[in-house]
Amino acid sequence: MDPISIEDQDEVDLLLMEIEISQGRGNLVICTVKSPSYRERIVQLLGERFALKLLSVEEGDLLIAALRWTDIEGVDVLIWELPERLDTSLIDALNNFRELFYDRGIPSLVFLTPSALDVVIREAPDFWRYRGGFHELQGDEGDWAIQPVDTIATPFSFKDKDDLLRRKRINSYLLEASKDRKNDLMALIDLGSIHYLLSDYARSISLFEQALSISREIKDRRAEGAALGNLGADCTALGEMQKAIEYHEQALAIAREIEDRRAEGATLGNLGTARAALGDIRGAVELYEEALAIAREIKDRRGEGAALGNLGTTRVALGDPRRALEIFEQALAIAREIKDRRSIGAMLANTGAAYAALGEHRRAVALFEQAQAIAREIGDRRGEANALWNMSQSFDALGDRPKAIDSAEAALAIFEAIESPRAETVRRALAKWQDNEGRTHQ
Amino acid sequence: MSLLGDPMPRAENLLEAYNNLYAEPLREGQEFREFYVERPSSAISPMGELKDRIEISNKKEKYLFFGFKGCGKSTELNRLEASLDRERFLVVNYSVKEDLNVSDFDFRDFFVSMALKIYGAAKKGGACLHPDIETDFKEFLKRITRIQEEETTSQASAGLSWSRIVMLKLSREAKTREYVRKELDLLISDLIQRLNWLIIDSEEALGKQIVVIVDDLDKLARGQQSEDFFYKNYQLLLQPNAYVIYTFPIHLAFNPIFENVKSYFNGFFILLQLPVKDRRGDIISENLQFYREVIARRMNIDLLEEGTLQKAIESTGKLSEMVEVMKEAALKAFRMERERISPDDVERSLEKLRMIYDMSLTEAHKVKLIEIHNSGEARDKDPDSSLIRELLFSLIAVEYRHRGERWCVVDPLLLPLVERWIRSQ
Repeated sequence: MDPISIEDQDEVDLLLMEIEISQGRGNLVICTVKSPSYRERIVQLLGERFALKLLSVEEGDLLIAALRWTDIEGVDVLIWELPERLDTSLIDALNNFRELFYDRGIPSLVFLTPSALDVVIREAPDFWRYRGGFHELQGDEGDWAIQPVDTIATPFSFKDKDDLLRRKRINSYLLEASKDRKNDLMALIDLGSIHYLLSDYARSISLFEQALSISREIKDRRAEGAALGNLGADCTALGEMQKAIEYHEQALAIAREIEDRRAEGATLGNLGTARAALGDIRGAVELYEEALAIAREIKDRRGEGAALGNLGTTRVALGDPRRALEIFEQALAIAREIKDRRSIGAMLANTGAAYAALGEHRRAVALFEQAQAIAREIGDRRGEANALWNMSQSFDALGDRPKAIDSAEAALAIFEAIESPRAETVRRALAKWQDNEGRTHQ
Repeated sequence: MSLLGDPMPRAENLLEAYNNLYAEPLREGQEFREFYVERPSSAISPMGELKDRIEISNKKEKYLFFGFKGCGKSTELNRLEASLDRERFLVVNYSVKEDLNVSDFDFRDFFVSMALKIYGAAKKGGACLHPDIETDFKEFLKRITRIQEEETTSQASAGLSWSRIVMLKLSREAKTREYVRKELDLLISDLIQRLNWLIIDSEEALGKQIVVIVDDLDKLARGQQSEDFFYKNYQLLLQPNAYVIYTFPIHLAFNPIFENVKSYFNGFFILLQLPVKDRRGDIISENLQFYREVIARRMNIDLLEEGTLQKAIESTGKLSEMVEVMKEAALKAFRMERERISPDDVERSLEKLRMIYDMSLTEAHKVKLIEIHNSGEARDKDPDSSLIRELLFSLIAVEYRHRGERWCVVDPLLLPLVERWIRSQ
């Protein structure tokens, strides 16, 4: 069995003590956990000290019946496993029949997801106030692939991967046919962006470097800024954050010099993403907020959506998935309005990660699946791998380790192919899971 | 061939004169040979310079071309088209008035029309475009116009080209314009990128450089639309990767923003309205001779009684208006079964026009016209006022330049009215 998280040791001791002192009389103890697999570990631990009876209920009538008629002969504790989302009948039953938990004469431990707890506090207030102890467990620290939206400096719309590949053919042809340095430059920037969107960062970097050199040669400051900013985005994708920051700072200086507000906003956002990746979340928030203000000022919906989405990612990083969900909803609405499928995919994945942080893994998996489908259609390999990796963590949280391993292996293959720094994290997780699986089978 | 049929040789009777006196621009070689009159040396056409600029510049320059309505801009642009070497250039010369709805005009429709015109001209010129570029362009336009496959198939069977079918849909259907504008709100840069792909590929396929002449942008019916087009979107106008000549509404040049915007273009060219009299009221003989020659090319001068042409020229002072007045006078004389046009026929045509103006002008316009008449200047003190813009747009006030002097006058046709208004003040 995987161990209990170190962060939770004290809280688990407290929970055990509360159950101990409640023996022989009714009590209602509430405990939040973010995943069924972690709940199982807690239950297993309790089982080493107490005689448990596990009751898994999904509807109100069944809860009431179980409270009234469950045979508790020889049982020390009733363990209630509730679904990750509570339906109305269950909420009403909790609120209106709360006293039954006390009437049974033995303690009840009710497990809820953080998301279900929000609903209980709002909609079953009598149940909430009637409780004895409340324990909030953090569980394993996940490595959710939250996807900030790096804005390329020369965005364009595209339908799917085929559309991107056609653009690639067009620009390759134009690059060959062109007799003009300016046209070469435009084609190179477009080609670099296409390779970036297809997660082929090494090729993208080489194209942007050529564009950078031509832009300097023909003194096109706007194109120079675009090439620098896009090189920064490539470095972020490869995890080379210091280099990314250097590129973005140069791009920012040019955007300000030529008074290109759109480029300025986009670069501030990209700079924020690099800072966040280095752990400077507060600094990133300031940059994203600045980017958001500019986007709103110049009515740049694409920029506004990206800045909002990125602000949402910082809320997840700061442990506030509820606020993140509100922000992702706004960003998703904008992405849908402007038909930006890449951002739609990223926001669905991020929404999934926020739900996962609130313990709603089934809902999260559904969102990761949607995000993965979009990423695959548009040729966004990084997005696809992120969705698969997130999905794998949710499968594990739901206790389905074989599926978790399958998804993680699929994610790892892509992360390795695109030279993503996340490959190492996935490799470690897989090694641990496979090791544990092996031990379980022995 | 001209839209009006083959031009006749110089008219020898009033019926022929009536048919030869049309104010529409000259288009074809024969029309130019029969009717075109070189402008006097003091107000020479800028087309020669423009042609040189296009031929020698290695940058795809963008030009503004302006002049008062009816002073011959379209004719000069047609001459420019004819003068450019067809082996080196593919000229895409079109009028927004003919292809777009000028009373409901928007920069997004404009760029769609420009892309369609270039595509249509390249195909007509035999360009074999890169299949990906062509497919991508068509799919993009299908997406933004929501045109159905059946529509293009059924109309193509009637002999219309694909670009023409899409253009007609855009100009005739308000709903299509609504879709296009909504889509292009976010995708305008995608459209311009596709437009540039078309240009590069067409130039490569044809071995020629593309020159786009956009005529009649000065005829946008709503002042705000033309201001939005030129002043809010001028950065977009610089982006097509071809030589482009934009006709520019002269009344917008009286706006202070003009000085800033014009610096972004590679050149601006003015076709002057030729004054018959200078600022002091003295006749400018070379200009008078130009106007005489315009009429003399179209009709035998013996068909005019003495003093008739002088009266028509001095009372209008504008090319198109003079031709229109003479046409009306020819009709009046023909109806009276006379063989020659008299000064009275001209006067009756003038008076008919004056009555129309007298009825349509508001009191505020009349006050402003008196001010212009007295000062020789046309400037609104209040920048938000649209009075001057309206008067210049409708040619009721005209700006003249001659030998370094610039002044503004009320349309000479209206002078008797202005004097009447002053007396009644």
